[in-house]
Amino acid sequence: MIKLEQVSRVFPGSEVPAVVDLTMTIGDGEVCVLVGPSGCGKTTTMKMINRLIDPTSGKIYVNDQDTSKIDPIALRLGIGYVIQEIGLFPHMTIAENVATVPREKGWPRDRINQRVDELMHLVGLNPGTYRNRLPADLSGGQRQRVGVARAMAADPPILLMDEPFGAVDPITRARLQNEFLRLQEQMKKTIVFVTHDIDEAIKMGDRIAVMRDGRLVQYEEPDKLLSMPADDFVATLVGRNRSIKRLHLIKVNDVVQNETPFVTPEASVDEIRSAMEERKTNTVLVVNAVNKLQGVISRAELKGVEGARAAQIAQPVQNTVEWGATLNDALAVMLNYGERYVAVVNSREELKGVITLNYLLDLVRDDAAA
Amino acid sequence: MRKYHWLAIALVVALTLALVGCGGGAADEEWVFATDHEFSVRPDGLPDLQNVYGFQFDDVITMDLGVTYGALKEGQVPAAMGFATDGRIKAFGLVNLVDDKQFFPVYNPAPVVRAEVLGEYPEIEEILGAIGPRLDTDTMIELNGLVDIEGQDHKQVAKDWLLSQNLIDPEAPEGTKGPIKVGSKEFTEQLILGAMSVFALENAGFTVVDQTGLQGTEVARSALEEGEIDTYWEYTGTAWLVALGHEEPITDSEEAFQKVSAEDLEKNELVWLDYAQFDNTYTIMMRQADAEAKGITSISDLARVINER
Amino acid sequence: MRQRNRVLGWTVMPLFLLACGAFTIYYFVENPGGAMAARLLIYPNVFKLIQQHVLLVVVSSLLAIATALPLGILISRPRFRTLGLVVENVVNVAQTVPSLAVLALAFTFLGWGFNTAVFALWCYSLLPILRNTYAGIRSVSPSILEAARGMGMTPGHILGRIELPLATPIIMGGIRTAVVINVGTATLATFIAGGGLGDLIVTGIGVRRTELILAGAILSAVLAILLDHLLSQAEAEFG
Repeated sequence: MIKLEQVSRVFPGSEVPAVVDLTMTIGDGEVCVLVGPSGCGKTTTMKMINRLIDPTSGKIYVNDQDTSKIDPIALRLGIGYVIQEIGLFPHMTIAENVATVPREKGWPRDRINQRVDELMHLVGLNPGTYRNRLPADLSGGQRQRVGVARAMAADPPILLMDEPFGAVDPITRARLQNEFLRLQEQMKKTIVFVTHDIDEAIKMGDRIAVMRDGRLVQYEEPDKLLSMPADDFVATLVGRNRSIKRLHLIKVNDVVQNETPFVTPEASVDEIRSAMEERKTNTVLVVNAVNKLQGVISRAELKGVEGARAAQIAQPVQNTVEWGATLNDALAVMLNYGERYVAVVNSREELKGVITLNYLLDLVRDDAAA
Repeated sequence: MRKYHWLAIALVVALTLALVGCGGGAADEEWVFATDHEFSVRPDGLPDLQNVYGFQFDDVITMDLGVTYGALKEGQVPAAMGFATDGRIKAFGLVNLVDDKQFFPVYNPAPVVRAEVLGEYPEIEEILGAIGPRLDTDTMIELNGLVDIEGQDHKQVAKDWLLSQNLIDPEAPEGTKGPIKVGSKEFTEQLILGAMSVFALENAGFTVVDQTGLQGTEVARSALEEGEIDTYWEYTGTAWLVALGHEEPITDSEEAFQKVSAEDLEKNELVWLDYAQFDNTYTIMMRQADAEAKGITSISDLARVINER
Repeated sequence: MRQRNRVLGWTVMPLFLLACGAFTIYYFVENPGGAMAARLLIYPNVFKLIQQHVLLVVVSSLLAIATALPLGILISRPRFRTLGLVVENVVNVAQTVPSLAVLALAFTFLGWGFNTAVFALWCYSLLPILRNTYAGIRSVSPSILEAARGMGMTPGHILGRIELPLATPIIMGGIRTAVVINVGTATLATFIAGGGLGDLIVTGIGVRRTELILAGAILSAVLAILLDHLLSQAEAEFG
């Protein structure tokens, strides 16, 4: 648990305080997102937690310990810290970067190596391939992953993340966010997450702290932030399309449907037709015996292929989202591929179902009416 | 990998220390000679000097000419080369060793006057000719020292000395004859000699145009030949080798004077007046106390002491 | 491939330069161009001068590294930042003082000889190393430093594992500049009895013997290239 009590910070030479009288509590296992325009004090607030910046007044407690009484080095070793990919050490290999904190803690070499491999697997980087590469050899997304792995190396209960996904393209960012949310489900870390992107805040946060001019304007769960903005500033920040923003809050896991019919790869054209008739759709998905998605067949493709099997006609499916993605991601994929549905697959590429555009429209319409 | 790096660094340090160790050895040897660059290789310099006198210094350290006096004074070398009338010789307690085998070419200075001027004012021969014979090496060292070491004005030094020798009166009369244009080269000794000429001529009632301080032998000599100046002090050896273009140096003062004055009069209508006793040539110096303790007064003595070790 | 280039860098190039030097010595000793130059251009003398020259350069450079590096690190610490800016400007101005003047000043205070020459060379080569150490460390991106600090690295480890390794190319640039300048400046040591290849050059100027000047100049140029090459190899090795 992290507790801030009437914390203020004034930078020398500046008349306006960066943070004013901030009081908030971040519960264990919670993702708290600090959001607001640049200069609102969100980063300063975060850096006061690991004492990169010391508060001018007020107290900060981490697990009920007054941080001003803990040696800053010891404090920081117990708190993971992620900043944008530019924070990687360019002269060290990926493995050395990830091993930073364990090395500082003086772990034995074997244990460090083992932990590095473990973490690289965890963030989806093959240690055999990437261990000895330099950050410059990696893509932006891969570097962000290394940043996350490095912060988690010594398994700290708390993570501070300063715009950790800020420097990559939107599609990669969405993937990284989803991966991270999946990880967080297992890890249950206490996370302070700084961003200026309200969409990211709504997607990532269990609770969102909106800051302005060094003050906490509203500290609320995303749902409530959207439905009951405390003032005009918050309302403007979350924007007019609040119902669409809520798509960030809903995971595909919760709403996946089974409207689109499946057929086996061995199905004949007749069988495919009858499956379409039965559900009154123009497409069927081809799924094999272990539930892996093999492809898609539309009605138009059935002409003149009498006698063929489903596996021969099926086209590859690209419009998929992964288990754990949000409805907003699903909508983005639909728009991207110009399809009226997306297939939801899990990490082993097993088909979990589909989500259709009509469903999303209904949802947004209901929401707006409510 | 890391171990190998430390090894490399250790090796570099060890090599350096070893090099320093070897380098320090040279100064311990007994008879080390300090010389400037030119003297170390010229034929009338160190190599033939050692041949003529038949000895060999243990080691030779090369340095700028101005540095040799200090090196000798501080006792880091027992012997050094320099120029015989340098003011530092007295000031630093050094002594010139006598060139008893007349190895070094002679460089006695004398006033050189254009024959035309001397024809008009024959008394100049007596006026300027009186100065040289009174100037011995010790005197010139002292006068140079007053300017170079004690920072006195060269004109004052020249005047004081002329007065002490009763060569001039305290107050010069109004100039009625002349004018005579007096030149000199630019270094201390030349400035003093030039100033002496100026005062002596003024004392004899000449109007004098002071052209002293000309840049080097070439300039002074051509100024004299072309009549831009009427007189300046030149060294016999310099005139013989540079102005008259001979190759073989002369090592006897009288012989040099005779040959130079005869040739210059014939070829250039220049008259050499009586030459100074002192000889501003290369010299081998030792510390005075050291030389006395070892009973060394000449280069032959030095050679003997070195060879008898 | 990289391994092979490294091995070649440590062997072929230095051997080539040594061969160049050896040929230069051989050529001028065999063709001294007259009796005067021949008195200096004899094998033991030339080797002695080279040894003196190397010694002047190596000792002064090592001393300069040993002082300028810690000093540069010190003035790059946040609490000395203003001092650092002052030093940086002073260094830039001081660099314009001619090396001969530094040598002359050192002579005035310390007298003549090898030690004075080393002192003057040390003074003169401090500056590029100091400046580059400071600049190199200051060039490390603040976000990298903040990441290191935020993860709980101690100041010592930040310096040793982050700042210095990242500043190494710039620091090595300073060291290489200093050493190459030193090889040239060391030829002036001869004026104050510091020995070295300047003996050949200055004597050559005094008695107008081109062979002496060329021998001294070529050998010191070869020495400069050799040392620079070895340092760049060392940089690749340790960097």
